[in-house]
Amino acid sequence: MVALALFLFLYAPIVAVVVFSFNAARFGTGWKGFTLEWYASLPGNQVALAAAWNTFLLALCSTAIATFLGTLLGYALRRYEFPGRRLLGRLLHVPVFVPDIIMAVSLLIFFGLVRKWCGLFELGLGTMIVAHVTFQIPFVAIVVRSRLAGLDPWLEEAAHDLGANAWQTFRKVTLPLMLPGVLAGAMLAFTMSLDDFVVSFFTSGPGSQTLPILIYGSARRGITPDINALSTLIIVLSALATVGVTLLQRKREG
Amino acid sequence: MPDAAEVTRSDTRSAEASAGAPTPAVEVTGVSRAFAGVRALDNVSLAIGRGEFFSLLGPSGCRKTTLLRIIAGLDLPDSGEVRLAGREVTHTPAHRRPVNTVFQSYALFPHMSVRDNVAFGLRMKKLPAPEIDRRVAEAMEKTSIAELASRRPTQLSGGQRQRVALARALVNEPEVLLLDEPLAALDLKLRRQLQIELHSLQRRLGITFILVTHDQEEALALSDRIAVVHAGRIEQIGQGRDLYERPRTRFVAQFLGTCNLLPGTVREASGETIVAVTALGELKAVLTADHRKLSTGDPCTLAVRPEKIIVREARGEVRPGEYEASIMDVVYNGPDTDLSLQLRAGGLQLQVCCLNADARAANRQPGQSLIVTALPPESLIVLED
Amino acid sequence: MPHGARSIQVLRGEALSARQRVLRILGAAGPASLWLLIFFLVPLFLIVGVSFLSRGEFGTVERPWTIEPYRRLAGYGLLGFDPLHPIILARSLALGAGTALLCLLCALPLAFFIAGLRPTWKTAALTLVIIPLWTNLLIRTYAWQLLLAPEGVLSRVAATLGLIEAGSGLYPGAAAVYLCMVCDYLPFMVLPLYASVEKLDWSIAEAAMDLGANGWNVFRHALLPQIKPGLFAGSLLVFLPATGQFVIPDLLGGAKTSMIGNAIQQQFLASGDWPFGSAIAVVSLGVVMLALWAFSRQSRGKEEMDLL
Repeated sequence: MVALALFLFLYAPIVAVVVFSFNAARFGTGWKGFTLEWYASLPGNQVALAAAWNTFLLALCSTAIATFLGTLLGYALRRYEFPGRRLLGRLLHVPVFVPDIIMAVSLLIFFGLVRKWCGLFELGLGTMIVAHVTFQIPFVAIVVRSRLAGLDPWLEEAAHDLGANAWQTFRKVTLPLMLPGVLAGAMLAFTMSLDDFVVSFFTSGPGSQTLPILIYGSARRGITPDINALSTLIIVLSALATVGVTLLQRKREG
Repeated sequence: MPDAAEVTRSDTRSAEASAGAPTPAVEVTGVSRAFAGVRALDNVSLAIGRGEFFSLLGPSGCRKTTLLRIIAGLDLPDSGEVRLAGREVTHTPAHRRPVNTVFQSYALFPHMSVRDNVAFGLRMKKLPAPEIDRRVAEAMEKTSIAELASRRPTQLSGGQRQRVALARALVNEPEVLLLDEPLAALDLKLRRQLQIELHSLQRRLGITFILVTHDQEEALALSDRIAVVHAGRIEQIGQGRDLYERPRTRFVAQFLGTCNLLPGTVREASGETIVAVTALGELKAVLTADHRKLSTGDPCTLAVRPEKIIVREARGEVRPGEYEASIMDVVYNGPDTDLSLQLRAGGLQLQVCCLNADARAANRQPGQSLIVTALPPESLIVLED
Repeated sequence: MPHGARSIQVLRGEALSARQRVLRILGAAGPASLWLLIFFLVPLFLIVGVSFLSRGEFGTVERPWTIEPYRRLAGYGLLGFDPLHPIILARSLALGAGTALLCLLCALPLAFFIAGLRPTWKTAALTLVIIPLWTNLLIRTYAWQLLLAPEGVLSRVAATLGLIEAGSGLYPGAAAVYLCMVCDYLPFMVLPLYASVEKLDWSIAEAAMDLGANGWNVFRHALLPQIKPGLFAGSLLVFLPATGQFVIPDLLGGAKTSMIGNAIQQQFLASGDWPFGSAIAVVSLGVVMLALWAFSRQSRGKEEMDLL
């Protein structure tokens, strides 16, 4: 069946990486036997550990900021009528489609300019966080806004009518109902940050290497097998996360 | 068109007199509200007494709801004021008014159980837990939803949700309960049943109810007084019977039941009666006490309800004041029959409603001839427009 | 939706004073909008500006203002006409379009297949499609190095078939770039397409068959118009990022497969020629905006895409 072939095609690279992570060959791609030594070498790999730490720290910080800002924006876009609302909504789609390399170099120029004027924005984790938040906000806002579409607009009014002031309404009614959407947006932002390469590459400084940057460097020079092991771990984590989220979603809706 | 203020002032006085209480429970004065150029409410005033079941009746649309929202505090009028039991509340936010609303879509909180929904208002007031439990249980008893306490709104039927919305509002013991077309989404049988429950509930609790509906039967059956709303204005306020027997405007006459309209010109006007020249010839009609003055030559419109027109068999001669007619259309309703008649002279069409008191009445057919008997002055209504 | 709710939506007022409303809106939408203004829009304007400046010492720019970078982009360099950059541009567009087309051809059967599954299998299949999406692009890309190396099975088969020279691998090469692109971007096409297919009204197809249409016509007239939104969304989601790719041609291709992304990266990081690099970026940005504008005219007033 065509579908089966396509699925195999889709998973070919993933399977290749997993298989080769157990390959005892140090160079080349001939099969030289099964081994776990590459996995064993990982914990001792300082560079990889530092990159992993950077990656997670970056993802955590940027997701937190972007979720906060993006949720507020998504909420405002759905809830209130104001001049320019529709335009803002459309404009929000632009960052989604702009190729990341263009965003990356434009930020490079921006940071360079600001640095010349007031010394801020030395390339490093800080600039990476700023860059990540910038491409995450539109996604969070769009997800939150579309999830809010299913919300009954009368609910907040009913809460008011029953004696809840603005803060109580938000806490007891609006927030609990928005939460699934906010979480979905946060998850999306987190994943995008973890997976990002191009933007990180251009806005990183010495010492702020992330896992994708590490893998890229390795791929250019020639893959060392421990990278395969590292990649396999990442694949497994991604797969688990995806499955976990899907199950959670089904549970909530069921 | 009678001046809205005039109409409501006189009705307000009668309402005050009938309610017996000097301070109306709800008083709306000169409220106007416009949205993007559309005048939703135009200088609306009314006064509703304590313990009254009051209806806002009008065609489907959002104007009536707008007024309700202004009373509830969910919207601000452009001009005018709202008073509750004499206190001015126009700018008081909704959560501080002693008013609760049953929304058209019920607006139950989907993430809370039925009990939590009902308890919501009391929790906002931070009442002690035992008292909350007691009042919630009581409210759920009264609205027959006690066994649904731990269910979620999504698991309930339309009728059950309506009761939960009712309980959630009533548990707060508001001064006024607002109901926004609460039964519109339910099927006929359920609607009838809930109407009866609403009515007895209101009688028992003695709370002022304000109901918004487009269903005239509902309004007539449930209300002490009705305000007919049209294009953002109040056309007439009064008891159901008064509105039906003595409508003031064409709109009211045709919105509540059906009515035959007879435009004409005044030939004689003397105190309480007028004689008008219409398509049916000269008719004498009785004016109501506070009708505006009419003089000879003024245009006027007479109206007569279908059931007030008496017909008889086409036997013998046509007496003065009577008209020959033939039946165009017959609609059999069981207890009565609606007939569309066309007068032989002039071709005027009349709607007549006859009780099926005997076999002959129950078996009318199109094409038969009938005689329309003279219309007594008391059966004729003089409209103000 | 409750009866009459749509009209109510329009005529609903609120019990907030004008000042309160403005404060709330600014407080909610303000911070994010400000952030995007500063860190997204301003840099974009900067890059347009820089593209009109001259190159300074490494990594800096200086006046005079000039359109030299654009002339070089069009091929008119210092040493006469050099088709290098116009070719790169054309190649990128072609690669993007080609990838989109191939993805579309692969995604269609897949989308219909998944839509025809039973609910539990459907979720499983969708999850299987999403997992690669959430797996790092870099990993999925360098994996093709492993798959298409000279000693690998695929390369040897290709050599036997005479498609390539014996002993060389499919990687590095244009074929590798294409394969990887299609594989990497396939999920991006499948998901929006599936969303449209899922909502298909099959009764229209049945009506077409009832009226005597054959398989192809049924597809063309009954099904295709309905899945247009998904088709366009997916194509856009593939075409635009694909044209701007630099990692894939960088890792899997050679000099012959250099694309816009590579050119930009080179100018910014290697050559330090910011104006030129900016010019390239601006031109590709122009392509993006054009495509977006065309798309928004297609789907006038439709809902925003479902991204999850």
